[in-house]
Amino acid sequence: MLFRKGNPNRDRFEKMAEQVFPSLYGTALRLTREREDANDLAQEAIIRAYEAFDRFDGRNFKAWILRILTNLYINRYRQRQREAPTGSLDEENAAEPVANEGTTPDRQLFDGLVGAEIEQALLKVPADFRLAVILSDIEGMSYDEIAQVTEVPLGTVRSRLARGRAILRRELESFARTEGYLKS
Amino acid sequence: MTPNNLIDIHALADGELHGEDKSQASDRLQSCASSRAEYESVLLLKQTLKQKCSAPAHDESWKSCRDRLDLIDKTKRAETFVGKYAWALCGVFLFTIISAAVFNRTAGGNVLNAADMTNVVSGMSPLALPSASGPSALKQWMNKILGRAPVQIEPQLQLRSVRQGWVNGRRAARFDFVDQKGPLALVVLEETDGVEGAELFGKESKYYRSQMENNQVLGWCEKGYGLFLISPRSIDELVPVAERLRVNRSQ
Repeated sequence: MLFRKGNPNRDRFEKMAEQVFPSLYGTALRLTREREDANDLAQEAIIRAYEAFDRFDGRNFKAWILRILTNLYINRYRQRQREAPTGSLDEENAAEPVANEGTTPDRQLFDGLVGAEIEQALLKVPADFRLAVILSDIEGMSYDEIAQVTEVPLGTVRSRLARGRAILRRELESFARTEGYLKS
Repeated sequence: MTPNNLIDIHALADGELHGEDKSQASDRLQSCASSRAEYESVLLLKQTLKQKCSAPAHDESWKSCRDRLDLIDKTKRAETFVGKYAWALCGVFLFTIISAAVFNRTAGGNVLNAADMTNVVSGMSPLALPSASGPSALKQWMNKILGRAPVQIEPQLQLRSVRQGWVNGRRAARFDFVDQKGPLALVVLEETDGVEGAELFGKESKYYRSQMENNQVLGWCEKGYGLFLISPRSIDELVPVAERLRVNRSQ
């Protein structure tokens, strides 16, 4: 038949893509900070993945498509947003502790915040660190998978996570103080 | 706590330390209060992010993705079809072009473009008028030139000159007359069944009209001949002349 409707490749792709799309869209939104940009980024990643689906090795679809999204973001959106490069902060010796010894109990800080406030604080973390935190702590990916998505060595993933979490903790505390959840 | 120790604590909290590295980090937690605080803080932060950062609404975006995938599939199917049957499509196009050319050559070949009228008129050689001046001799001479053209020159038209030639393989003749209203030319063209680029008018749409420089051109086609009256006078004045030329021939 010349114009048959059924396409097994498409059906297989769509099934896999639908499963990971919440993660894909969530990551896009947390990276771009704008719904419109997140829509474009997630859709473009889906299209690119579909066009390259015959080159997918069949192992980890989520990591594969998130890598496409990350590359698209780096090539397109980050340049546009003119975010300061974070390469120098990747050094392992730049790691700082997450725990804020003796000042604010973590439980008191984290319990008082709602999701939107955490998302706001997350947006203030530089993109490379933010991506590592998103993939690890929100998407539940392993270090290997994060390294695969971000195309950086494992050591860099480890240091980005430690640094990203420390920055996030600091932003959360600052936010909580500004909003009056915590007393200075 | 060194930076490496700090990173190990994160890895431990993430379940990414194994073997000796894991036992070393665990020992450090037992002996170091700040390492323990860091570990607990990381666990709590991870838990908070997991619990409070839910997936944003994405239904509309997913629907748009599916629409775009449909579009890609459609385009691919069309491309596949064209790729697969390119030879057939080329054949159809080629056949259409050849058919149109053949049709144009055979059926449509006898159509004169109104814009070519200037070439028709200018591309003819003058003929010497007959020495015998008697009306019957002149009539005989003109009929010879006109051949079987469905037209008969009326006596009121005084012949001043005649030109003859070939236009696109068709025989053509031009007669320049003068009557009471001034000069008038009649062009007769063989193998002409229609005129392109001229406006049809009249009750039965049998006449064509167009313009050539400052002259009006009134044309009609009959019995395989194209006949054209060319004059500075108006079309309405040319129509009665044409009617008389046609009537005279049928008599």
